Amino acid sequence: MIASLLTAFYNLAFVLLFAPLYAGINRKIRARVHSRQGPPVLQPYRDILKLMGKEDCQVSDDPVHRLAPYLVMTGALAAALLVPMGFRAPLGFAGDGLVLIYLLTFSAIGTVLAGLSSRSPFAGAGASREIMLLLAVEPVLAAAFFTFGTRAGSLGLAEIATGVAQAGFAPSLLVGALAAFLAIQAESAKLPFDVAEAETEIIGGPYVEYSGPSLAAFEWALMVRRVVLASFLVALLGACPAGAPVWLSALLHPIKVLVVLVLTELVAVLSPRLRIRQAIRFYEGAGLLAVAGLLVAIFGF
Amino acid sequence: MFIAKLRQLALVARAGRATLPYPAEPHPPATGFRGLPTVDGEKCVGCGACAEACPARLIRVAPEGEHMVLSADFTRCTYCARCQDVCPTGAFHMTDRFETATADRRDLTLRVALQAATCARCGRPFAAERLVRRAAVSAGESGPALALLSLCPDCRRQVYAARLKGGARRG
Amino acid sequence: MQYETIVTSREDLASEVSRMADSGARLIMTVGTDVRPLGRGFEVTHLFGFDRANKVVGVVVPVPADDPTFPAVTPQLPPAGWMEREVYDMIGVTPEGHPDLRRLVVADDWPDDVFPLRKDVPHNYRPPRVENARSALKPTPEGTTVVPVGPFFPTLEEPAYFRLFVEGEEVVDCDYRGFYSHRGIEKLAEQLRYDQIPFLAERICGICGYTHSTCFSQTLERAAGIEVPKRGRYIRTIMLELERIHSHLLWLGLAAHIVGFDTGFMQAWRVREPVMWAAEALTGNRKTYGMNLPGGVRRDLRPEGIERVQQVLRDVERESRGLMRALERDTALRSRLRNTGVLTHEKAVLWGAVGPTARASGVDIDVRRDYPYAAYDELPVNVALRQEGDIWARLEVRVEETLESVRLIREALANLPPGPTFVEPGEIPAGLVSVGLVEAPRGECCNYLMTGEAGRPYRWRVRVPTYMNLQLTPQMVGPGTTISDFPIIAASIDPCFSCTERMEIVRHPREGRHEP
Repeated sequence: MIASLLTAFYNLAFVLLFAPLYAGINRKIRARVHSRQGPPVLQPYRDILKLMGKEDCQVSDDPVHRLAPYLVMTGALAAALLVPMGFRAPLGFAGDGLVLIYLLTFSAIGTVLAGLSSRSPFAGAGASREIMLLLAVEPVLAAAFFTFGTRAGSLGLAEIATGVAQAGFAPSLLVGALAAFLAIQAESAKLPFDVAEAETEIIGGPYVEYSGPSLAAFEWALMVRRVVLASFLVALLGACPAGAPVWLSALLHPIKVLVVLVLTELVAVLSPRLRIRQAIRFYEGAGLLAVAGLLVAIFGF
Repeated sequence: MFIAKLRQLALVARAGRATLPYPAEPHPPATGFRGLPTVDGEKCVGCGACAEACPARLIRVAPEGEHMVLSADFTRCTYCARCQDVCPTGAFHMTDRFETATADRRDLTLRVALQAATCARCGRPFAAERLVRRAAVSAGESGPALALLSLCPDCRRQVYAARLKGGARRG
Repeated sequence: MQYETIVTSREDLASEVSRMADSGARLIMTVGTDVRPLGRGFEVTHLFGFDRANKVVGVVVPVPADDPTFPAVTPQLPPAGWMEREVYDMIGVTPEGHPDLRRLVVADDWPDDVFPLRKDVPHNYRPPRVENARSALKPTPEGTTVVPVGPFFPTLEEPAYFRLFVEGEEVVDCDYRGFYSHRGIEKLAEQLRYDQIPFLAERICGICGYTHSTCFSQTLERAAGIEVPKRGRYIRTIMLELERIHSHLLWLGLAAHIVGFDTGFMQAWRVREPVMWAAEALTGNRKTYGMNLPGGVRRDLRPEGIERVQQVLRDVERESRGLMRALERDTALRSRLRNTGVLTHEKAVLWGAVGPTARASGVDIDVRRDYPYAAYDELPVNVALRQEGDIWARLEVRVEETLESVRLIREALANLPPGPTFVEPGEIPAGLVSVGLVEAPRGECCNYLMTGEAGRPYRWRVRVPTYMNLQLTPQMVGPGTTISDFPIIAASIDPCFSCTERMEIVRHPREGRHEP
């Protein structure tokens, strides 16, 4: 009980406090690829604080519009409670991986609701793109997850982590990891799949009508989402030797998350934005790949 | 596709960082940079060539009381350097100042007041004394023309016309 | 370049225009002039260019002051669409039979009966304020949503208003209102002297300013028979090509940015930056070179500047080639730009496309070769040409032109003749009429000049390349164009709104009708 509370606190603190740091590191990497100096690594913290002090312009009396950013944050934080981040997950139970995917989807729906309730054509366009993208990406993520689950013999994240470590390397896991990584790219709204938030096409999409503290909540929630997604992938891959001391796995976790996030940033910074139909076609392909991986896992490889 | 990405990465790696440390470190502009213009009051003769030439028409050279005053409002300056081109004494010249942002417009306005010469006939101030002296020097010490220099343009016209009429009657 | 005038009557205008079109001439510009103070009523001049013959013919239609109408040529020649509307807007002469006669340039609350370029309207006229003026926009078609691209939009460098009507992602129809940046430059020029106007002209555009000051100076020099010394002409060529390089690299970066490829954006601009520093070393400013006066170039090139330019050219050439090699096999980028915004050869010719937009559709025109000016008669240009007519083709044309500009500058520097760069123009009499053409980075820029009293122009008309290319942007919006594609299609003509200062109605109904 106490342990769960402590790990819950740790998980939430980790995602909330480290998410802007990861975002700052990624911005620095992006800047270096651009041959720029880039903003200081701690800039996202300042951005959030600055936004919190600004006026929150009301464009709609729709309560959904006010709540949407907090839905995104709540979904992401709830998902964070299910992911082992070096310690045992605070709310781990059998089959929690599926719940995790649902919670991540729930948080993405928050973005969609934000767009639909904004009464702006750009936000509406962004919301419809987000829904289409979700429909294309979720099956890929699910299939990848099931691949890992099949190999480990369980759908619980903790069991998957130890099961994968014990079962060792397998081709299906490689395919599953690749599919999961590709899915995370879109779920994180990163190029080449940030079509729902395309600033040069639809001025930021669902977020266009948000300002001040609501926008701060959105930005922060998105950063948190990315950390949770990366932690999810890290958890699936296990990668920590089964008998490792707790403090070691706790120390390694942020580093592993950093590696995943940096990889997503490198892919993003070298890619132009795809159109929504192109993105959907891409994920149809990735979906086939993921299902193939699943089949391979079912057949024992 | 991957080859393209590898080439892009290679290009980026070769490029390095392009950001200059300005404003943490100063960055002096190239020689010949056309920055904010200024007038050396010691050299100005109040001829008004700059006022004529300026495409933005922000320079005014006009009599004010007993002075000939050059006033310029550089908030509209286009930094074309025509003023520098046409100034006969080199008084108007471009500096290399480009950090001219200010909250006070007066920082970008300039006034040069020169003692005006008054017309020997009607007493009106008509040109800077310096200009008259300079014209006298260029004209040399020859007779009738020199006397005309101390007259304002209107009086000069009238006196010269009278002389011509007199000359025509004589000749 | 040979310029001749044909004076015709309103009744004969249509047949005269047909004669021009049949003999292969291209409509370059339409100018309206208020010559009532000279006792001649109004005048509308249509300029036709015979590209292969280095000849421009002005078809002049006198219009009586008490009946200010003339037959519109737009039904025969679509490129005249905006230009005739501008004649109406600015001079108040009505083109009869024009399919879309609305005011083009002036603000929404401008009084209907005040025509700014008429001689009885003072240059500092301020109309009375009108509250709640609305733009004359089309009604929203059934079942579509309005997506307003502008007046403030991330990818537009200047205010412009593309009002898209979309169904889902597909753009069904479009309305446009521009000219937010109209600054009344032609009217202002009538108050300035010839030696002041090049500096005004340089500020028409934030990128291709030197093109404008050169075009004006050239037009005046031609009118007054001023022979610019060879060295001056060579220096103009060098600066024009330097401007072309930095303009094309700027466009490359913007195109990458619009499709979300910010790395391409930053790298292209990194390659471009030394060109700006070199221009500063050569002329004293990164962009407003301030070198032109009627009569030549007012300052010679500094030797340190020349050294620097040579170094910069080596770097730009190497980096541009490297950039192109890094981009050409990028399938993601090509998938956004290939077969997008296609302008067919037929439409490019019909709508009077100019510049890289035209050359990417196989239209072989380039003012530097067809109407040689500055030193291009001694420095022949290899014209870049592509046939596909999509955005990728435009990209290839611009990159090729950048490398060609590098070559031209090197050749010009190697053969730079000694001697003066400037000759004093002297008094220029009134009543001279002349035309000037220059190949700006975006295409053909045309000036029409009628000299006036006291060293000031009576009428100066500038028609920039974006003016022609913006009119035909709807032709690139084919069925299936999505919201994603629209910004990059609009950007692929390299629009310069401050150059253009104009307005447009873009109509793309699914049935395929296209109107000016």
